[in-house]
Amino acid sequence: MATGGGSSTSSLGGREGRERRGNGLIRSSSSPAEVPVRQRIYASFYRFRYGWSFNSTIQFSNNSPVLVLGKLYIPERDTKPQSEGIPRHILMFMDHFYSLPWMTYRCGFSPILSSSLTTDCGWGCMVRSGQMLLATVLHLHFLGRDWRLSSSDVTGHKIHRQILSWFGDSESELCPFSIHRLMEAAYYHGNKPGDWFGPSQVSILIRDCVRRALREHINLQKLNIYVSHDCTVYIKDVQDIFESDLDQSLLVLVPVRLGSESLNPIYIPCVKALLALDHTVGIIGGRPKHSVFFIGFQDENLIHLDPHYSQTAVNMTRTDFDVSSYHCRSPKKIPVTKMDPSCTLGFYCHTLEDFNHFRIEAEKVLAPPMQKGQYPFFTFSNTRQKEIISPEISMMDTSALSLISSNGTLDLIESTWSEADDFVVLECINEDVPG
Amino acid sequence: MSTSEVEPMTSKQKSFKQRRSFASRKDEVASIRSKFPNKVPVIVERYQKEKDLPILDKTKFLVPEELTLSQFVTIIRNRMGLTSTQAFYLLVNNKSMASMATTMSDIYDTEKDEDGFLYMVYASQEFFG
Repeated sequence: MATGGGSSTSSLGGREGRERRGNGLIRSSSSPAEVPVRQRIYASFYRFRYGWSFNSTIQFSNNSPVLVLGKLYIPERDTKPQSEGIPRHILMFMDHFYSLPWMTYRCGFSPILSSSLTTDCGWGCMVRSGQMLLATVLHLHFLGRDWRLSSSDVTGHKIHRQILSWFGDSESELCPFSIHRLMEAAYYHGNKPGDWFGPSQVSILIRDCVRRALREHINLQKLNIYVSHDCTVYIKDVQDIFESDLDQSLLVLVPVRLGSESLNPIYIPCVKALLALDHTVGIIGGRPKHSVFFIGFQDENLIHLDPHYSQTAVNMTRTDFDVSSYHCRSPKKIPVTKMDPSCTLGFYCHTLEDFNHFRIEAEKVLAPPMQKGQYPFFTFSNTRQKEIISPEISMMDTSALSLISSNGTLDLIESTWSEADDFVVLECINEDVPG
Repeated sequence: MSTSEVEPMTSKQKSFKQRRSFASRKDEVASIRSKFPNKVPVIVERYQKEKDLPILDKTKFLVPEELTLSQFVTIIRNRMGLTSTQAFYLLVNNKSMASMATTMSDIYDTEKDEDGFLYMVYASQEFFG
């Protein structure tokens, strides 16, 4: 049964080996003495912390299907287990999982902006989860859904390396999606390196960096980005993006909040259904205070890539840099119920037509089943965001009303409640004529 | 009445429901509904653990029935002076308020409390490290 057990143990050994190679690379460019002691202690602490949970056996059921980014791996009835008793569908899932870009805490990079921070250990997990989503989209956009790290396609590997290098931990213009660049964007929104971020903030940072990359003529092969507002995807705003160039692809990011203290269980079927859509590129989210990148599920558990593992920064100016620290052999999972209600969903649409298809498919699963009212995950609106006219509203406290009114009934209201408990009365001044 | 004056500090931190008895809340709704039959009484409070968004200066609103949720959200956002990129979510009974075209009276009809108020909680998003 414990299919993941064997692979997770074996990956731990592989990981340590890669770590040593990573160290070798960074030493060639900067001496470890440049890394402040405190940050080295942090790095070790987080390595220890994550290494510890890394050891724990992650079990995947042999008999249940596994879903990763819209791709379903179903147990095959009549085939024999391939190796070490691991069924074929789990092996195929592992191959897919290992091909996904894995962004983690890094240490020993050049200081971010004017700060002295040379690591993001302890604060950068949400940013890393955001990077994972963007890297996943770029993978899809450039390489398609079925490219695997195990393939022998030389061009594919070259592109893969190029995509990873855009995320290199450097302020260089060759790394438009580095943590340095994302923090530069954050600075314009009043944040600084070392801050904790939410999924919605990170979506905005990703948007800013993608737009900047497009301005700086980084060849993203016509990938554009749209971030939804107030849980609403405004169709005309999306169409406007395609207006300038029909031959584009679009990353749609939808930040949501699905409950206050914890995830409202009515949304669990929606989370799973959305991860099963062809267009999904994962969810930037986590469990409380601990961000991860959700990529799929098995039964009632979400499968994710966890950025809480400290690795040494890789010098990506070398064209033959080692990519192995950007892939994870150990899928982790948490019960869906433990998912934090704050998250951002990502969807990739190849064309405008594909976007329309995405809308149709998404609308089938956005509303939680068995509910009296309408409480969808998010919605589509046929307008532009700026066309939502704020009605001209007069606001008046009931106390103020009673002052200007000689009406005795308002005085009565006034006398019933204390001053602080007055209502704010909203009055539409320019009411739209219905119909 | 007099008790709220004795402990103004603690009463500020308590939610509207905690501050007022069920009977007085129910009476209040009955009274205000008779004066303003075309408006729904809504309580808007900040999620208790929210740190990013400011506290609204008022919690009790009388909202025209035909107002849509998106219009109401715009009013609240403006009243707090939020920028367009700041995350702001309204929750009712722990459910996401995403159906922006829904009218306030529709939400009121399905989600109002037994006391007759509609309770809305606002929050941004959680932060992760």
